[in-house]
Amino acid sequence: MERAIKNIAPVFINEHASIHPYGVGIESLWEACEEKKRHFENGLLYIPEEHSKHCLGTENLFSRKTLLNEVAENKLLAWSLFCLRSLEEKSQLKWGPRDGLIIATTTGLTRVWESELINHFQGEKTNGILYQPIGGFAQEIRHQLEHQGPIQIVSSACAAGTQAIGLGRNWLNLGLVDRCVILGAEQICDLTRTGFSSLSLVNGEDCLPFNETRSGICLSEAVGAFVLERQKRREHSVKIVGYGCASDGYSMTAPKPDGSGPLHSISQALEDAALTSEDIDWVHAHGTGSLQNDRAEAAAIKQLEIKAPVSSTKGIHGHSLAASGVWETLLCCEALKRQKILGSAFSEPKHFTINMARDNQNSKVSYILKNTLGFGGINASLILGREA
Amino acid sequence: MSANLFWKYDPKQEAAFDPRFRKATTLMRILIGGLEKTLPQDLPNKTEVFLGSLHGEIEPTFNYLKGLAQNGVGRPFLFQNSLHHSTTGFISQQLQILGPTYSLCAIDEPQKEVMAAALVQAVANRNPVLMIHADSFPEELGEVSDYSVKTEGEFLYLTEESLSTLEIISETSELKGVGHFEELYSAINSKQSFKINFQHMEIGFRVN
Repeated sequence: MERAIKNIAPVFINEHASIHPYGVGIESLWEACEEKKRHFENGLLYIPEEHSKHCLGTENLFSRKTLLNEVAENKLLAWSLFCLRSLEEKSQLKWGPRDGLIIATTTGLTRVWESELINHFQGEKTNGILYQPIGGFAQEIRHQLEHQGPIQIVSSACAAGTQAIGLGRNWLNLGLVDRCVILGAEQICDLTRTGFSSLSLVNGEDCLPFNETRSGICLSEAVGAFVLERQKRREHSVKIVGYGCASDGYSMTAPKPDGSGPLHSISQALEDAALTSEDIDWVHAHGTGSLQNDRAEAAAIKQLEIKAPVSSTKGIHGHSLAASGVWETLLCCEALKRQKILGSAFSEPKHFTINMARDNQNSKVSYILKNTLGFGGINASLILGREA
Repeated sequence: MSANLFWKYDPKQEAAFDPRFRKATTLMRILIGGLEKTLPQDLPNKTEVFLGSLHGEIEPTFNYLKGLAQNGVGRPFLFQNSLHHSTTGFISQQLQILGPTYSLCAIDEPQKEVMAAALVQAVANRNPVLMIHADSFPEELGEVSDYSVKTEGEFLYLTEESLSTLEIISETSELKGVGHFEELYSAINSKQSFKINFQHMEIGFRVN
């Protein structure tokens, strides 16, 4: 395939911010993964109340009256603004006309929306539905930031975060923006909590990626955000060198067992980066712990003869749907910075014929492959690298 | 395939019930009916699909939550049809499109969002694109909502050939603004330069 953008320049992940069940900032998540912490309750992992209070106590979090009264107390909005305000401070972001914002979320303000609806269905008083959950979320963020640049909202299931990064890279490479902020945000709500259970996709206890006894995902909530730019701004800024995206056309809720979806997205990402499978030093797998996901992803990795260690960290932090592609990318940035890879603490390598990494390893890490697979048969892959 | 194609849903021409799609949503049925009738069988599987919507699959989401509130359980097929990339995934599955598929949620003007995203990707990748805009709104939601939208569905397919010379241009002041798929269809077919204004971004395009 001939590409219009010849010699695509890498773009860099510069300043970043995150909030997740183990704290604020990606370092605390990395440490939780290293120490193999796991705090799931009934298969769910929430951001603790103390972190939400910390966010809500941040000065100027809400700089203006919210467009809608109902959302002023919404945690997802608070977590998101907390991360974005942090980027403002670190990057001197003014949200001008050449500062793009791409948001990845599958549910947005669904938690607020559904509580109004459930009240209505149960015959109780409601405040009325005045907005739609995802667009309303973006609109409120934009209002609070007084953002004047382009914005896009991607809701392509669990691949949305990775897709947002791929789209942002093109905005930068085509000169449409000078900076592009990527935000991945997800809060557990009744729709997702009960919905994934209704499909028998949730493990009610622990998430066990790449383990023969795995029986489903554990949902979690998180927000990750970072600034993408053409210039490297920090000593440990990571570059995005490859992106690929493909569908498998197989099922609404399960990947094609032969792994052809991730195989195509990984192949495209390698081609885009002008790398081969031998150049990859770590595969940070989607590895949700569902029966179908891990089987399909492992099949793709095997067919591509990727010899690098493969692991999933969802056994520690669970699956935060659209946000996962964004904040797990930040874990990859930490791996490149620390020259260390995280193991799949609860995997059973003998059951998969790929190079499963069970333990954390100090290792030379130049390129990391990050995969995401989602409902509707969507697959997106990134290749991240460090400057030589 | 050499021709660009445009299709718009006409509510006066309700399609006959197709048992293949008995579990599909209103949006899925509308779109797949139009797509199957309009697009040829040999659609390149590297076609990139961009679906933009204000509300997405609000109907199954509403019905799922209704079941949850009234019976304590939500029906699995309503959840799988809800907000999670389901319309786009359904189209990819039915038409066996194996390229990238993107579900975009618009604050307003979903057609502009889709056109801007799809054309930027087309300049970068040179793949054919299928742009889709669709929305529906369950009547019952109107009881608790101050607004509603009418059921709409349309798509524009642009071939690899017609996009092969598409480029972004910086000088946009003299360009005609394009706001809908039909206007874009006309501009591309007549090789007119045009611009798209969306969310404070103005992007100019030229087809040589």
